[in-house]
Amino acid sequence: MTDYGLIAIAAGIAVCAGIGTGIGEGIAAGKAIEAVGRNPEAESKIRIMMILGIALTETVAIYGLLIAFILLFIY
Amino acid sequence: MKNLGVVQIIIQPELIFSLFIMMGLSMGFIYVGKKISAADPTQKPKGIILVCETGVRMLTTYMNSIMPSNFESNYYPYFIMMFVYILVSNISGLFAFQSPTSNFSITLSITLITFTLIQFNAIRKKGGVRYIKDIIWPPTNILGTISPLISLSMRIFGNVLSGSILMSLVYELTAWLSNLLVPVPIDFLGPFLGGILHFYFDVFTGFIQALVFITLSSILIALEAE
Repeated sequence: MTDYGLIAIAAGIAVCAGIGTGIGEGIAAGKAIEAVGRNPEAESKIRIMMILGIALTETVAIYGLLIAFILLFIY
Repeated sequence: MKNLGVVQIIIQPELIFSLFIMMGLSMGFIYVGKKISAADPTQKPKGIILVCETGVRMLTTYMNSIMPSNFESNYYPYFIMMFVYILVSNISGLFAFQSPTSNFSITLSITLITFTLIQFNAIRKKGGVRYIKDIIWPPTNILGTISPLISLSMRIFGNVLSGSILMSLVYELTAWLSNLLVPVPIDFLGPFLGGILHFYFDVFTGFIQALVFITLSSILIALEAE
């Protein structure tokens, strides 16, 4: 196995940070839908909060993606 | 050892583009300001004045919901300006610029401003002795103090950079696909697939990240000052 193959495997493992992020974003969206079902008047507020929360959660996956890119292109 | 006195200065292209964006925004602000001060307040606003007034009102209402109103005169205009700057920088990838926020030195420096404001407010609230004691005891507080510096700067940097790298990968894919379908060296699938993805990676992510930056900074500052 060459060095580049090992680097590619490492990049693949780094992107696994997306697993938890996917679960978390799903939970956030589901809870937002529940909240809208309970209180339909607050839909716009809930939408802003959901998008903000999802953007915060997404950062963890972005960190993994960044490390994968650094491994692939710079290392 | 011979070259000890020689300082090599590397001017990165993002810094030049950042200066261009700052100059453009300043000229726009001065132009709109002159127009507003000359406008008749009894008439209905129209044109660019209406756009700017609506934007400022929306952002002020948003800031009012996350920051107490005693910050209104000092911090609201700063955050609104920062929002506009980050938004334009993130979107500028569409106009053949290299977006300034895909350079870590720029995101780190705008985060340093937030960091300084957080510490300044903490010192003003607690006083010097209690501030230092709160930072070093318990020792995990040291991590908590410097973590916003890393997380805020890496968040914008990672989102914008990964967006631009993913877009270049997508263009390689469309070039390969269109070469496979019709053997001419023209990337005819690129404009169709790339346009939609540009909307997500540049416009949507740029807007959300600018919003997240000002939201988190203002929450952190308001938390220390309460």
